[in-house]
Amino acid sequence: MAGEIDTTQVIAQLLPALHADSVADLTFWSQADLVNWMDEACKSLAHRTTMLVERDTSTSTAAGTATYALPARNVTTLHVSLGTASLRPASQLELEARDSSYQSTAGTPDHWYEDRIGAETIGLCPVPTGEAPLAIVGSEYPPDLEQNTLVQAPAAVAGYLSFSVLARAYGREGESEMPDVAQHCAARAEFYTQIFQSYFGAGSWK
Amino acid sequence: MIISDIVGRILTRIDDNPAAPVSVYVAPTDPVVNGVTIASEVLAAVNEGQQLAALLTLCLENTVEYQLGGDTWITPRQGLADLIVPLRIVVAGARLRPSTLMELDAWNSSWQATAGTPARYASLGCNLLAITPQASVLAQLTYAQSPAMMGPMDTPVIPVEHHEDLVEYGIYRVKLREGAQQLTRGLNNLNAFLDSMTRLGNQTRAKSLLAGNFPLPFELDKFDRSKLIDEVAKFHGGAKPTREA
Repeated sequence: MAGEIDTTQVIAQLLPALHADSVADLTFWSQADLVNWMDEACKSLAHRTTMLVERDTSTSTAAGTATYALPARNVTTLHVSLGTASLRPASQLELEARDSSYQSTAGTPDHWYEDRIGAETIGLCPVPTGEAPLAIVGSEYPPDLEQNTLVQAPAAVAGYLSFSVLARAYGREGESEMPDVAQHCAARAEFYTQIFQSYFGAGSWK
Repeated sequence: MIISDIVGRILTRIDDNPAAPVSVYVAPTDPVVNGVTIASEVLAAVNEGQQLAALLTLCLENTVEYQLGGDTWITPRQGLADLIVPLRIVVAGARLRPSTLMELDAWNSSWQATAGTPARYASLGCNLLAITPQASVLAQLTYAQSPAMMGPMDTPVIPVEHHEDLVEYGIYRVKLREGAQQLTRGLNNLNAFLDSMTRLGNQTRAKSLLAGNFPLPFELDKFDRSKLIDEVAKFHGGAKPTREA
């Protein structure tokens, strides 16, 4: 699909900044290093901003089941609906105050909770009595990057990825280390992050 | 200014030969236009500068007719590959009010399944919109646009008076990898670029406020550049790079 960032192209364009004209010509780093650093940058972006938001509808409720697995790459849950009815977020303390047997009371869910049940699970209250689609809107990190992964994001994210990789490359201890360049590139990646936060919102990590 | 002019000015200002540069990477397939070798490294730097300018200032707006198919949830990037953020949505001459999902929940508990003329929307991330009420209507969607990647004969799409800023960015970008004194010198060029983008962003913000656009451009004049520029310059004990007051 158009509008995606091709990580192969990002790597090709940052090679001159690594004093190489091809991946094979890299002296101090490997292509795998660059891909790994780009992957880390993508995941960091998903944690620090709410730029990569998806609506997952792959889960359905089941009668008598209170908790469900969150989408595999979920970072932060932003909104939950049962069918087209929005559910309200709540803490288990609040739910317990309302109904001490909230974990077993059956009914149509009107609240969701995530605290004290593990990081990858969402709970519904009251406990569903039947099957219904559960739509979860959340910040999600992209699938693990490989050499030619496409990232669905505005074109300027390519600049963020380039500076993130350069910061790691020149910050690595060894003959190639250039602390001034590494610090500047890290600051440039941070600059991009702040811009994305201002447009899309801050993530779970500041 | 077309790209070959910009690349030529960059190469000249870094004391290189525009026809046969030696201090930047030149691919065997890089073309020569108007006597200037369009070095792929420099072209990539100019493209990156223009992308950053558009992101920082949201100065490129595009309005399209967008068919709302009666769905609540829309992924606009499927049809708008150059989308940065939606700025304004108008249906039947009325502007939809930007909201958060929490506001929509408070406004109408069944907002996801309410038929009617769209009145509000929530924008989530870079590729998700929620529209309520739902109707199959044609909307005018105004959005901040990413510029397309430029080739040697293209003209930058940011305002003409800021084409020179791409020269500043390009100089900074090709000096970056050298580190040390070259990086410090390049930071002066980056400062000049950011100063100019501050002015362009402020102009866009003033216009956007009047037009009722949301979000507004990044407030660059409130951004602390010390980690980006001043602290890097201290590595070499050099003078602090110049910037406007």
